[in-house]
Amino acid sequence: MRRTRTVSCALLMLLLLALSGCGPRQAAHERQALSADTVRFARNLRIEYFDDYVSVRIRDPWDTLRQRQHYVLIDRNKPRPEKLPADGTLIRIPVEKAVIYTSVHTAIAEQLGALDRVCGVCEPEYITSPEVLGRIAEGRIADLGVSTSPNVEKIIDIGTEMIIASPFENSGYGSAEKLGIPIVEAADYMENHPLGRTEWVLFYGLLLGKREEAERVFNATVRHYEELKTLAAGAATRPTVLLERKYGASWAVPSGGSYIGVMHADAGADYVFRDYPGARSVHLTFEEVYDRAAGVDCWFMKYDTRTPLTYKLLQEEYAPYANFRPWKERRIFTCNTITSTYYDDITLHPDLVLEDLIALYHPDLLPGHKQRYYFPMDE
Amino acid sequence: MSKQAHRWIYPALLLALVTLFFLGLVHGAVRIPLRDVLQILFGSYEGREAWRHIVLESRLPQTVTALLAGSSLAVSGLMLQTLFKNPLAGPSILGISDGANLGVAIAMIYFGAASYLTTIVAAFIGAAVVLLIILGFSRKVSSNVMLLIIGIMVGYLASSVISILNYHASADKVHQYVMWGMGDFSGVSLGKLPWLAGFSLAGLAASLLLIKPLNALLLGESYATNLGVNVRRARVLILICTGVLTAVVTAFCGPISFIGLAVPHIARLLLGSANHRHLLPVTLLAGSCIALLCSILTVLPGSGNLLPLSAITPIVGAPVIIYVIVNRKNIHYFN
Repeated sequence: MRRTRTVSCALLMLLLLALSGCGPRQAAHERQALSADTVRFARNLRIEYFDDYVSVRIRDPWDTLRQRQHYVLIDRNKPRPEKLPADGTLIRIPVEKAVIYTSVHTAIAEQLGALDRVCGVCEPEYITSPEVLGRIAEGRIADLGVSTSPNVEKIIDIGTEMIIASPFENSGYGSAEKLGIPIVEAADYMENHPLGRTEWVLFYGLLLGKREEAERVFNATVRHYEELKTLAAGAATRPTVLLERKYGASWAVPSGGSYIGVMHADAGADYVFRDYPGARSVHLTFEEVYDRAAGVDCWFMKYDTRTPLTYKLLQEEYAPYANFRPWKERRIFTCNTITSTYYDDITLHPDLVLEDLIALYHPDLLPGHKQRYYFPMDE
Repeated sequence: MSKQAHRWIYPALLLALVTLFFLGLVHGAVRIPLRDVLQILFGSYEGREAWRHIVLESRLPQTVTALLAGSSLAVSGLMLQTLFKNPLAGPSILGISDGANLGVAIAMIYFGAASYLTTIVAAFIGAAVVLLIILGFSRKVSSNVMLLIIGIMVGYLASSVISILNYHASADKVHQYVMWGMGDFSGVSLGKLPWLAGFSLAGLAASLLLIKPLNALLLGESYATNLGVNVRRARVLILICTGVLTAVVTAFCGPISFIGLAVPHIARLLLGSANHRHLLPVTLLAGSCIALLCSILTVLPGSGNLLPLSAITPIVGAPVIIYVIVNRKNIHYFN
């Protein structure tokens, strides 16, 4: 008796499952995408154009089997389409009042010529653009404080329609999440390929009503990047390179598949730790790094203090650095991320950073090049 | 019973110390054969230059740092436990390491200066300021318990300023600060080692001179006064001594928890006596041994994976504290 009931229950559930499986499939047939997804480099972004909306899906960079967000973009000047995907966050484009948490994406908005659509930013101390700083001083762009706990009341007060924020693993956006304002998770920095990061500009362009401009910038960057890559591939030598330095007990070594690892490979160099798989950094001890990389040709590092890093300071910081060959032969190149616009440009213009690297590895390939980000370290 | 204990305890601890010291030089993320390490140490090595640098410039300073830091923290923990008659006192109880943390937080987050040297100076200044505040109060407040409460309050004040700084800091600055807070014996290079060694050896020597007043304090302040000990002076000297030891270790290695709190208990367990004539040297040696052990364990044996120092010390320290709480009657305390 009991067994019959279990079996009939199971049958009923199967039937229900089959029925529910039919529904969406039929709907999908009705709404054929106008064009296939054209994203080429970005792995966590999918853009599909339908006749009355655009669907943008963002894959979770930390759990790649999971979809993190689904945004449904509809034209703000047309009536709301009747049939829309049920699971999406609705955003009416072009957004007229956007709040941007990060200086990187504020810089992108500026380069797209969409600053008039930005009504608030966080942490203006990291913003380098005089135009944005001027607008903040004039009160045309509101200063919303720290991105980890922004001024929520002000966000509501200025009539924000959308927030662009940088996601972190396992952390939300605090009280800003409860406002009902769509939060666009700008996970471009988790892309492994430098041009994958750039490709996200297509999404930002859609949001800010600058689709053509974004496509122009993206295509120009891709063309320039690939020209440079081809140029570097023809170099006679491939210098070996070490990246960054230790902090505390560990040396966070970018792996070969990380965007910086890819970029050095594209610049015609052999990065010593390129055999580490994945896109994240690996934490190594000083001795492991020293054992493998003491004899490399060049050493590139970024730093973020106002005082310039020098050979003397580096040795004071940790004396065994002076045993590395690039230290002895004065082949260390540094990028000051505070005084240069490295972080503002890296997303839209990895080609310019690549150009800097090629000019240092293979000076003969780019005669007369003027360095923008990486410079030989001072004594 | 305790006399018998002394006979074996010093040789045993010294043997452990020497063994752990060599283990620290041999064990690391890069596998270097024992014979090569010995040749490097005795100057007869003619193999890979990189290995020589690793042993002499990376492992040797790290091992010596662990040895000095461990004994300094353990001894200052012991002196504070005796002074405050509180088995749960430790070098962090008076807010001195919080002061160092605050100094580093201000330098790193507020001024954005992350160089190792500025970190050391900032930590030292922060710790010294808190030490001076505590010394100032120790002239006004006669009760040790009240002084202890003031120390804890000063620590809370420093922590709340750190919270405010962290709250307004960018993620990478907070990350930098958190990394510093993990503690690290490997940051001290050979060139900076004399500074650490100078301060901590001076502090340890001074602590040996304080054995008599420490023993007198065990009997209570009035007894100590009757024995001819100037209690106020002894208190100030103990505070200066522990303050300098904590400040210098925190400045060079970051905040290291539990060693200062747990090792005096381990020493009492080993010794079965509260007489500082033996308890203090045993604490000193045991502190070195435990810190060396923790330093070795930061590179997980067999896998080469790194673990933060602040995660290792409680693994060694916490079970001891629990044991002390459960079996308190078996250990000789403050009478």
